[in-house]
Amino acid sequence: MEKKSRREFLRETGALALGLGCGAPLVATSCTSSIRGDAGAERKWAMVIDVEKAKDPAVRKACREACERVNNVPSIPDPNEEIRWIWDEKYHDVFEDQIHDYTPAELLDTPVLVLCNHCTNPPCVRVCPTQATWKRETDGIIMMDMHRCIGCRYCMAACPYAARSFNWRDPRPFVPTDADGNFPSEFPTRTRGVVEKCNFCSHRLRDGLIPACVEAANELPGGEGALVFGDLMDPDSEVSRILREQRTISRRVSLGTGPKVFYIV
Amino acid sequence: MSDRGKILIGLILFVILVTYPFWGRLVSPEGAAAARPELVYPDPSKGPFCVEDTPYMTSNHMDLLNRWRDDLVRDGITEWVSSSGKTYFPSLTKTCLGCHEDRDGFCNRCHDYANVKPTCWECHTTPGGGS
Repeated sequence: MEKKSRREFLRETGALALGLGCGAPLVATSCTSSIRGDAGAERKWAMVIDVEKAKDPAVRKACREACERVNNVPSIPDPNEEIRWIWDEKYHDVFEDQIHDYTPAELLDTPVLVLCNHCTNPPCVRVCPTQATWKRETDGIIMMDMHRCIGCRYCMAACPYAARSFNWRDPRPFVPTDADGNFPSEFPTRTRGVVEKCNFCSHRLRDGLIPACVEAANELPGGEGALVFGDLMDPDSEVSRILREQRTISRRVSLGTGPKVFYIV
Repeated sequence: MSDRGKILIGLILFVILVTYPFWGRLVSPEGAAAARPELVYPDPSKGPFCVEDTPYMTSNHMDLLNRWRDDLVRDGITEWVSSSGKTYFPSLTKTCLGCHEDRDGFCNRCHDYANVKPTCWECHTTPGGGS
């Protein structure tokens, strides 16, 4: 074997260390990237919205009202300050990357129910500086911890679906109360300075119930099947069956966020 | 040295003022320690005691609530086992206020006495949705 000079040995050792140092982050990234996505989840909650069945204003109203009742969502009239968990948008705003010059005008103006998409790769979670919002690994729900939210609104800037609302003021005066002054639900109201959004009714799921909007739509005559909720990990669930058998779309898939709210158009 | 008297008076006044906090409450009727607040305890039929004993709860309820909060909100743990082995649902509204129905007479009265201002009630409700 060729004998190396001390100088050569030192130079090569240095180059090797440099190479390892630069390479390590790449290796680390490729290893950790597998924990994003849904590996290891026990459940994966998802929703399918049938746009045609939800065309009936009564269905959408029932969904919205049930949500507001169960989650103590305030009704703030000022559109700049309103709090939205589930609401209507026009088709051309919801699926702006799906429309073309010949999309029928009637479809463009069709109201579509929108809510938090509970993304597989949620941009809001990536940017939250306090981990006040996070993806629950057991079921994929994007949760909010109001105790930790500092109201920086970074998540609102990151969300491509505008699914998050900021409490510019104390929401309590805008939550309708009954004759005794009680709020519609025991669910905590929010406070000034925190961001909130749909949480797939995680408190109801804990008690074995389905989200309030889905329940309300299905209880309404004519609204059966407008909203379907279920577990994507279960191949026999209603959502899995619909996704397998019907043509569904979701919002802005090209962004790679992996929405878990799907639409039958 | 004609100022000796003035200096002495000044010094005495200084000492009196500086030590006032230590003896003031002995001479002033208003300075007596405030009486412990009268708390409204739950109906004994709700159970003989709280989730832990009273001295522990008095000094540690805030830490326990923080732990319940982290357990339930962050980790989804729905059961908390007390030192006596009983299982409780970790909820301020459902579990604590389920027995301590009089929030003003219990929580608030003691918090006012201790001059602490917890922010729990800005969001959390009483059972049934009361503010």
